[in-house]
Amino acid sequence: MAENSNDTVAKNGSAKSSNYVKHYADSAYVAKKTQKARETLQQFPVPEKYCK
Amino acid sequence: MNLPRYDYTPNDDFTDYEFYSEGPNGRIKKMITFTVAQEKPVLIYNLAFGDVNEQTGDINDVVISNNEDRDKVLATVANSINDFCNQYGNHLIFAQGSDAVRTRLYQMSISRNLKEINEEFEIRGLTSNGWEAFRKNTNYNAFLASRK
Repeated sequence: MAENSNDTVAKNGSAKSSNYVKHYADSAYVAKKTQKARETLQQFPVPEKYCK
Repeated sequence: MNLPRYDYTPNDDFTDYEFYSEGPNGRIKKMITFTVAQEKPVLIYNLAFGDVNEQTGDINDVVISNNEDRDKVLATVANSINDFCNQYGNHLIFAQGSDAVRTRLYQMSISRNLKEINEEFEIRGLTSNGWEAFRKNTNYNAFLASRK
């Protein structure tokens, strides 16, 4: 059970989450990295045998 | 993985993680975040990792910290994959350094700890010929991890 409204315990894990940790997905750095990953995966698709 | 690692704090949806590297160059705030890199034919998440400037909140992808804790940081990142997969399922996780030097550092850390990593994860590497099972002494441009 959460200790307070800002903390929850990870499912099957011990790490506690916090509302105070920033969401980085919208940062320029992460957006650039995500775009680079998309381009790499388009150029080099993952073989089906590695997708299982 | 039975390797020393840092404690971290995930955000409320377990897509972002923060922790502090501690070493000769001081206490450095680090972030790990997972974003969708590919939806079809199979869902693949990108793992982004970097230093956080505590004054500005910006992420630094240029400086190499040299905090003499690369393996501990790698184990921390690997553990975040576990927590992320506990929440979202066992998906492929893509990782690539911001430049060739950093990618090479990741590769060296994976090689040093491959036995422990392989207990929990399958690691693939990307060469100019495509994806293959990770092998030591091979240079890769990117990596894929999947939890066993």
